[in-house]
Amino acid sequence: MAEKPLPSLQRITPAAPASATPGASLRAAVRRSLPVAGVIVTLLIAWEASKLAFGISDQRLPHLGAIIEVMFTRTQGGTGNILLAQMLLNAWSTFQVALGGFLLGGMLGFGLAVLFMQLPMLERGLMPYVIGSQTVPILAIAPMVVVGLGRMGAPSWAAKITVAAYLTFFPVTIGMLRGLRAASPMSLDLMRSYAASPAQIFWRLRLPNSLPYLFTSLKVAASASVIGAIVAELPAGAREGVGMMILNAAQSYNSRPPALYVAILAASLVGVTFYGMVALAERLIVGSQRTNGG
Amino acid sequence: MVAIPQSTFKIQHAFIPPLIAFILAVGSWEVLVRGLGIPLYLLPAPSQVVATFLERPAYLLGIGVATFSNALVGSLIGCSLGCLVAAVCVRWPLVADGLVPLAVAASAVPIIALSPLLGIWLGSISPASKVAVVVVMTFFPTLVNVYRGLISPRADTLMLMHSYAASQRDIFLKLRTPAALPFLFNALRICATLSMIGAVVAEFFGGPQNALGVYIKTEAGILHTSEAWSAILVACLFGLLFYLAIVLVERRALRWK
Amino acid sequence: MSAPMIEFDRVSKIYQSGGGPVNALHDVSLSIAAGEFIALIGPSGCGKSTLMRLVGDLEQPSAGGLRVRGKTAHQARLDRDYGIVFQSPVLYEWRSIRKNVELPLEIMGQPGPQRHARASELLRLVGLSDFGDAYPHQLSGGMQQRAAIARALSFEPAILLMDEPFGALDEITRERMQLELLSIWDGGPQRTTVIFVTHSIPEAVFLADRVVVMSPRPGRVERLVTVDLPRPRSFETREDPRFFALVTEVREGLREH
Repeated sequence: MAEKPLPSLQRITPAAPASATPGASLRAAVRRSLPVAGVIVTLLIAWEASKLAFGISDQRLPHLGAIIEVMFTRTQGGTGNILLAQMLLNAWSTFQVALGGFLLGGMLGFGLAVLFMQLPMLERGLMPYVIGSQTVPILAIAPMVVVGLGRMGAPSWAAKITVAAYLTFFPVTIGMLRGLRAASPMSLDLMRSYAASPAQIFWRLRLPNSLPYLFTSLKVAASASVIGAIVAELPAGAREGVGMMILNAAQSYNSRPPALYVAILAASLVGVTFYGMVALAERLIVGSQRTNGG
Repeated sequence: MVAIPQSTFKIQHAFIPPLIAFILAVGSWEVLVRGLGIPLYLLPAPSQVVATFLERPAYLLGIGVATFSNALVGSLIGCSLGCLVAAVCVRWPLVADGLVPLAVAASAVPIIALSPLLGIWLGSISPASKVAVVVVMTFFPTLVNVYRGLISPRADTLMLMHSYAASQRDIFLKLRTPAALPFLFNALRICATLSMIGAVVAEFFGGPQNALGVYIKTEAGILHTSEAWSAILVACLFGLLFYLAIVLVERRALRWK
Repeated sequence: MSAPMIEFDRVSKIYQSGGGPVNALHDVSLSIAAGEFIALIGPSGCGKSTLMRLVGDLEQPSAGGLRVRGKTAHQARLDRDYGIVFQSPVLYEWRSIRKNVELPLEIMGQPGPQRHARASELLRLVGLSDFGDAYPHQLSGGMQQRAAIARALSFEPAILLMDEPFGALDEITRERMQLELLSIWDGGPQRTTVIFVTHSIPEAVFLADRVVVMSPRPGRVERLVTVDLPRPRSFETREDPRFFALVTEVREGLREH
């Protein structure tokens, strides 16, 4: 039986600690991003190759070059900004909404988690609905929330932020609660042996202990809030944002297909940037020694 | 044995507080809407939503089934593909190095942005484009989760297999796959809720006449809010059933937990 | 006596690490006879686990020769010449205790009924007959480790490698397990060759025919202590003056370097 050493075994057994020279860490970063770049390039080649091989029309799948070209054409019949600038403006607008919703929902989720930890009875009563609330296709209600709040006289950004916040709070509540509960009985006993007050136990043990859990859920929440922001921009009447951009581009697809791809790119840009920021914050706050497996 | 009364006691414990909370929540919603005189077009009272639902339950459930079947087919395809690619990633680590970071990034991309494009490719009225949205939505979380599950066995459990001179196939079937099951079910639970949401929202961008998303959008557009909410109720129902079905299967499959 | 079961000939093992190469083993020569019970003892970092893992082909020597049953360690592993027990039980949590014991037999392609019979026999031998259908998390640490021993013995390997198997158990359980291990080892028609890594001096003396005392930086054999206590050993052996004398001898060997 021919057998080679297990590749996965080597991957899991602790590797020799990387030497700290900047050159080595740079080389490691390059080595890590090389396969990713490889996959991206493969996908782009497959894009153009499938156009050639299957004769897919420009109407269905434009050339990559056409997409880049359209980014630099002026909008509004040649009088407006170039599309790229407009795309970034819209992305920025959506990003702000997502950030607002993220902060609001994050605080709500955090508050709920702390409340549930203190009052288990409340948790038992409400948790099923916190979970159940997520099976409500909230996105289905989103347009109504926007329209409804608009009629009540609230500014449009408030409605959008509400939708984004709604999508954000849930993962934060779940993750944070799990984190707050993760303190080991022994470390709790240690705190009690110091006659620590509940507040001290919270700030010095439970909170720092829950940070890795919190960040895991914040990463989920980051993507959720972006989705919320985009869907909240879908109802007719939105004047800015990625959602509006997608709708417009979809409606005028026949006359200018590449614009829709640019809009999708804008949406991805917002999502990935937001996620990346949270991941970076995690790296800085929780420290590299505890981020395992991303 | 004492185990049986104890467990029924626990069930009561688990069901009564939520029941009270449910009654309180629905009750206060009803009272608030009526008491504050919130206009119907803004937010209907629960009783009105239920009444609207009861006017044409067969129709609403019918379009619910149409949308749900998109969600079901889409998540079946998406999750299967996710598992398959995860297995490929374990077999060829280089593929994993390239794909897994992208899949993580892709789960940060709002997939719904793709739905107009998929509508253009596959026909915005056809269910294929809705199914495709769900496939893309469920594929990435499944891939990331299942991959993590497949590589979750610790070094010593792998070492044990190594000591038996076990084949790659044995390691995959007898160690990695069972170890990945909890991760898979985690992904499936995420996908159950995601897929229903995806199927409904995909229909916002156009779809067949008889579909939940189209119905919600049309009714909400002409301020038939109660009608829209009754459709949301149906969407909830299907989403919840899907989720519960997964949990039930999980209980059976992970009995060793 | 015939050819040795295991033969180390000037074996060295060097790990590459960030702080430069680490000499885990330096020029170790050791010959182990068939049916011999060998205990490896020494402070952390003396390479005793490395020595054991070389036999198991879980690691490869940097220099020197190693023969296991006259073959390379690699070939011996492929021939399934050894069973291994780690410090933690490393039971697969999704398998019942019985299924865990059957795991190596399954991988080696034994038919079901035969596996079942063998597992029953072993469960009886380690006193777990009533727990075959239990899952690992339902058992105490000592019981889990018994199951791990049963698993290692299931395919009747010629060599048994034990890496601090009782290290995580309390002293009382530990002494009982030592006796049980010896009675299993003594009980068969043919004694298995055992390499037993431990931190405990009394444990090494109580169990072994020979104690290999090792010292760190670089890891090497400091002293070989032959244990001439009669077998079968019992609870009283630990009160024998000769036992204390040998414990003292090993202790002095550990202090020497």
